[in-house]
Amino acid sequence: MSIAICSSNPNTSYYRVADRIIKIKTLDSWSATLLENSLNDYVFEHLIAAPRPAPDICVKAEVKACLSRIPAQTEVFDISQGRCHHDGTNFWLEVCDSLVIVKSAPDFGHCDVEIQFGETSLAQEPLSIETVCLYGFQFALRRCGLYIFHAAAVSEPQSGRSALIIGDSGCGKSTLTVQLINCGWQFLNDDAILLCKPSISHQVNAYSFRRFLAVTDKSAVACQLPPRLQTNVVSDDGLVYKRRVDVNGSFGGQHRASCDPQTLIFASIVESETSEIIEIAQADAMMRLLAANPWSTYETRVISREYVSVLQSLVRGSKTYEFRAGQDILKFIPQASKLLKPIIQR
Amino acid sequence: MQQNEKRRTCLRASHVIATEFEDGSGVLINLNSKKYIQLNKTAMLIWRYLERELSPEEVTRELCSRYVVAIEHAQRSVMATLNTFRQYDLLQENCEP
Repeated sequence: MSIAICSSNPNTSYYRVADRIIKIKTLDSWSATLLENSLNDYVFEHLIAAPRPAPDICVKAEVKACLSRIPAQTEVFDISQGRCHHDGTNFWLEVCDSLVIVKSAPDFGHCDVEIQFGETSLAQEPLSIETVCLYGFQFALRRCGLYIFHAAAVSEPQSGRSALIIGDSGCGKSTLTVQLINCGWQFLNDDAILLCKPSISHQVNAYSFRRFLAVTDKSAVACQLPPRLQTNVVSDDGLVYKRRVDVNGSFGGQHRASCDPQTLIFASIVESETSEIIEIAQADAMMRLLAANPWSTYETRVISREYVSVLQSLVRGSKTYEFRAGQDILKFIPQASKLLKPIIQR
Repeated sequence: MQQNEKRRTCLRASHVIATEFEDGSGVLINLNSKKYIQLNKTAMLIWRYLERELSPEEVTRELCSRYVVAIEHAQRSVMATLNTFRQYDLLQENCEP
């Protein structure tokens, strides 16, 4: 893929996401390519000229044979595919032989987040690069009030009301999303969205974040996805292979950029023949959201408080349910829409 | 209680975030330990009284004025709840039972 990241400065480019401006500084052409490829998977809009007002956050990236040394006497905990060191305000993430540095007081060229791509074969694997970039984006976005949230977001066509479908990988978020799309529902994404809380409102906004859906072969067949909609094959956490479906090219008319969710659905797959929907208490929902979003307690104190506040507002503004998806969901495509419509319209 | 006796209070720790919901229940999050506990309506009410810096005796009296409950029962509930808060390190260190 060619490099088209240059704008006013060969090493600097600007992107807009959910009304925030991100400045990207790359110190070499390889890191520019890696970062741009990763940004293209998400709804970062490339800006041609340096924007006014100033960017909300700056991310620096470079390829380094020798990664920066992590200071001694930091606390360490395991994270997915790596380890995180922190001293309360600064973070060093060792992930797939690369390093993400997040400093509360930027001291390296006014950058808030620095991504150092390693040169080992592990560091150069596409999945490693995607993981490292996503960690960098997550930290950068949280520092301007945007929280990447692992959920599907859908809107019921008659009422226009929206719901988030929440659950671990493999709980059926993508399958439910594609089934609902087949029944005319609108959607933001099947797996990754952004949350933010405007300062003047208690309502949490959700924004589309990832540019594609990732659907297993089984779900693609069950949902009767036409072959032309199925493009690249991507791996999800290295274990399950999914088909990548472009959100705009495939279902352009039904894709939404944002919504205000009023229903939270915690999804799981059960063995039983019929599906079941149970209303759960808001405090139960909050406990589940905290468990699903560990960075809400592992971030700096200031960001943790804001993050928890967003999750609390999300719960307080929503009806909360557990959806136990049975065999009927796969056997009868409109079943998900039939079951979810009444609770979302409520 | 004598006028000049120091009022004994149990202050909430600064590393705790409290979230409350429509039905009065809530969740307390300890940012030090990264643990969180779910509170029912009464426990959440007790937490809110502690935030107003009421002593355990005052919390008991408030509960009795709000609900039809014997003072001994309210006292036991308050002490049990405070012990749970203490167990999860949600109160300031100088708070004695």
